[in-house]
Amino acid sequence: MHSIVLENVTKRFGDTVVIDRLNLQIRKGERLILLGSSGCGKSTILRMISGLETISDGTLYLNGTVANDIDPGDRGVAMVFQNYALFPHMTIAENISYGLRIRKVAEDEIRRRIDKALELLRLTGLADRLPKQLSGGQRQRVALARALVNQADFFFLDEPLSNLDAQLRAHARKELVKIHEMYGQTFLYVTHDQIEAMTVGQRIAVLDQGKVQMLDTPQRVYHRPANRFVATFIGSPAMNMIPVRYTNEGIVLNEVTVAHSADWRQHLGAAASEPTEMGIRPEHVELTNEAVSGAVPVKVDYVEDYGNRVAYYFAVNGVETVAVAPMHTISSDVPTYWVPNAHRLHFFAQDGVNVGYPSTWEKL
Amino acid sequence: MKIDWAEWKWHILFLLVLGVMLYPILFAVSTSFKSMPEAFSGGAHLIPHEPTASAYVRVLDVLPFFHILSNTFIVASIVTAFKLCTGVLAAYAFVFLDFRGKKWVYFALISTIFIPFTVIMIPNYITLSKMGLVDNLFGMALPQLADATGIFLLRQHMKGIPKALMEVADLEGASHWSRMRSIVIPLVRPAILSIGIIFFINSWNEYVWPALMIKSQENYTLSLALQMFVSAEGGTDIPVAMAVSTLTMLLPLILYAVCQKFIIGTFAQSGIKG
Amino acid sequence: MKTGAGRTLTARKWQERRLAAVLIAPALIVFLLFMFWPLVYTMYLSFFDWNMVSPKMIAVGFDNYLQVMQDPVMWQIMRNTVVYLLLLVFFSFAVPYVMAFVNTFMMKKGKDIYKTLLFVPSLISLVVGAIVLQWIFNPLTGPIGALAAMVGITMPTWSKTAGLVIFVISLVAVYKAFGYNFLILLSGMSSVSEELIEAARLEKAPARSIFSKIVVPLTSSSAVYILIMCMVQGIQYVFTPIKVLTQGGPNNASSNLIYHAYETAFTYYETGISSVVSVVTLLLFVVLLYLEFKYVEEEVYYEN
Repeated sequence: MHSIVLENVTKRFGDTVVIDRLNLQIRKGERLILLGSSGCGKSTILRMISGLETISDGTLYLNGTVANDIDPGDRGVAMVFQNYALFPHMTIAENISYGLRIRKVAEDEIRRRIDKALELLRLTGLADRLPKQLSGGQRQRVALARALVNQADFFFLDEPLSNLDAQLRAHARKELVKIHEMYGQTFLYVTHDQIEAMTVGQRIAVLDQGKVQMLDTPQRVYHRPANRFVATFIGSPAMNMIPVRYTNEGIVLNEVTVAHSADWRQHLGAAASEPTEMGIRPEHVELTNEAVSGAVPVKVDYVEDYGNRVAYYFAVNGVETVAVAPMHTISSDVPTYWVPNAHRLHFFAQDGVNVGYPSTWEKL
Repeated sequence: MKIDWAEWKWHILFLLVLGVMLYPILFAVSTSFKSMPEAFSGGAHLIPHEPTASAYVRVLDVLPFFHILSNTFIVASIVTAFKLCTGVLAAYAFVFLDFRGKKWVYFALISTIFIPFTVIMIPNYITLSKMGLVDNLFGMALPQLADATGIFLLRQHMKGIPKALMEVADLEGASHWSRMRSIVIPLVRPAILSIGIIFFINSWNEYVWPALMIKSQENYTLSLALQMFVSAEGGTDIPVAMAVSTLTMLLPLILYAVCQKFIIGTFAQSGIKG
Repeated sequence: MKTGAGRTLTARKWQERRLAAVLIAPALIVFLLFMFWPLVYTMYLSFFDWNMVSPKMIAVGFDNYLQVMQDPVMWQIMRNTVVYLLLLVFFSFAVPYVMAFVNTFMMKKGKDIYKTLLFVPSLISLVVGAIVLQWIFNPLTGPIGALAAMVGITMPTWSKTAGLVIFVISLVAVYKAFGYNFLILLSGMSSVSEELIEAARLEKAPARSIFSKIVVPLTSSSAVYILIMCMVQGIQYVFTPIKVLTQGGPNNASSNLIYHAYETAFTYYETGISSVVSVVTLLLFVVLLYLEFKYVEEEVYYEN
């Protein structure tokens, strides 16, 4: 059963349409990520569902009830804000219990929930401190605690980790998943960070300019991107998109015709649209100095050594392409060959839509 | 310590200006401790040759000083309390509530700062006279209540509260009264305090409305009492005039000394833009 | 907390409107009674001949206005008002403005104490200021007179001298406004980015040009506000010393629009004339308000 449904939801600010007839179904108890870059509308969607923004057109359903007009205080939403929004003049305990006190929950129950939240989020002993006395990481956990104690149906997070240091973030991601597994609320999580999306989400909605580009599990988003946008948005370094011409024999890359593998020949031959771009992730290739079958000759013109891996830059069909390898083993004075893994290819049509994968391949 | 001449010349300028500004106050205090002959002998010296507190004793002979003091205090308190309460409530409405014509109402209230008191003095006199409140402390306080600077300043400070905090309140279904009590007022408390002090001092020093409305000495405030000591040539009992002046200055100066950080902070921060 | 039907956003909108009315009502009632209605009534009175007590009010059309415009005293009043404004602008706006500039950009250490101390006179009652300054400027017994005598100059009796009397009276208002204006102008200065000034200094720009080309444009909104307030407030401030010390004399030499309006109403009981003078004053202020709106409120408008 879907606990949140958006049906043709549109949001206008003045004359500008920011979200255009969005359709989205979020399952009860799942962890769904709204992923996109700044300005794609992900926060707006979150705020419309929670009631902090009005809905210009369309219908929002919460647990089956039309919710467009329901006061945000009655939607059963608990939210963690990007800058935490802690009350600077209240102690940690007062901050956490704010909602409970408004709703007149019994004192001993409040006490109980605060203690439990403090313990769960490793904040014991800080109950009487003020937010300004806490570190960034601690403040973030207080924001979490405040959202938790309400025991709401819906748990919304608006870029909750973006103000934390990289190291803290890894830890915090784990904590969030654990909390969800403990309490089972419906998690709606907004972020621009794909790592957070991939690791925390059970499903990811990739958004661009107010539209859902793809809604699926992290695995499928990564390995079976629905279109060009999703393909290049997920993954770092980004997937290489190489313009190609499809022939029966194979694909021409740097003036060498690389024959199709059998499954691709069958699939591409029968595909409805003609592929115009080939996608391959930098890590799904081999670079060698030996000419093997399926090898494409390339000239490496730039090398970046990150320490834990090496990136090679070269051109394929006139487009800058990246290949990533664990170690620097290629010598650039000898001819270099680029061998893309046929089982890791993606093909996209003129309109950016993925033409699909051979039916013999595993379904993820 | 290296002496930076370039900077020092500015300090000298400031010290001179400061000296000129503070001299009258020091002069008043010092003269209040002079004997009459010494005061009239003229001279710019600040330390009395023969200091005496006799002027202060004479004050009580000439005026029902404590009564006047309490008049001034009562009026200032009423005015301050009213202006603060109505200011906080109105500012909250302008910042956190939406209603038709909000901009116009606000503009109308703020533009009253540009209305000179002469434009309203006759009708106010008539109104109060019809209410039987001329020559009455409460009546004199009434026109002082229509002051929009409090609303202006409080609104500026309330606008500084991060929007997300109110959204937290939205998600908890907190009523506006609850938000006012537990979020907004605590966060603007320093501003409320300083604005309150300024209101109090302004009413304490107020001269125009008392001068227009009050006739009998019994209802005098300190400003009116002071007026009694002025003759065209500044004659009569100067040490007593200075003594009453000093006593009048005392409360504002003490309040300022105690709360100075707040006050300067509130005005320096609110600025005009922002 | 569970999702419930509960309250709606539409209901909330109406609730908020009602609440807003309740919250603004107390202030608004006071303003209506003691500001807006009087404003209208005074304009109404300007078309009548009435002495404030008699039950008879004679409608005279624009006669009062004609009378005022043909009155030579009125022209003297207008001239005086202009002189007051010039003095006020110079001493309580221009001087603090330059000093705020100096304090912010040309001083490094120990500069904060000045704003705190300079503010003190702003807390003093104008009556006290008037009395004390009157004594200080007393030609016979005041300290300035004594110092002048030491140098061999006889100090004139300013209270009987046409030009000087305006000067001394305006000093009382300047005394009160200076510290406050300085403070606000100072805070306006702090919004100018340090980097701009540093860049200008590196190019060896003289202080004068840093002031006129960088600081003035960037602080113009708070500066214009203070300029206008110093005129609007200043001209009302001087009422107190005029009433306390000179009562407009000698021969209206120290009177201005404000005092004249007061005098005609409460000394001569000519409410019609007084109202005309007040209306003229108001027009002057409205022009100032319009100018302020153009410069300052434009930014506030964008903010809103």
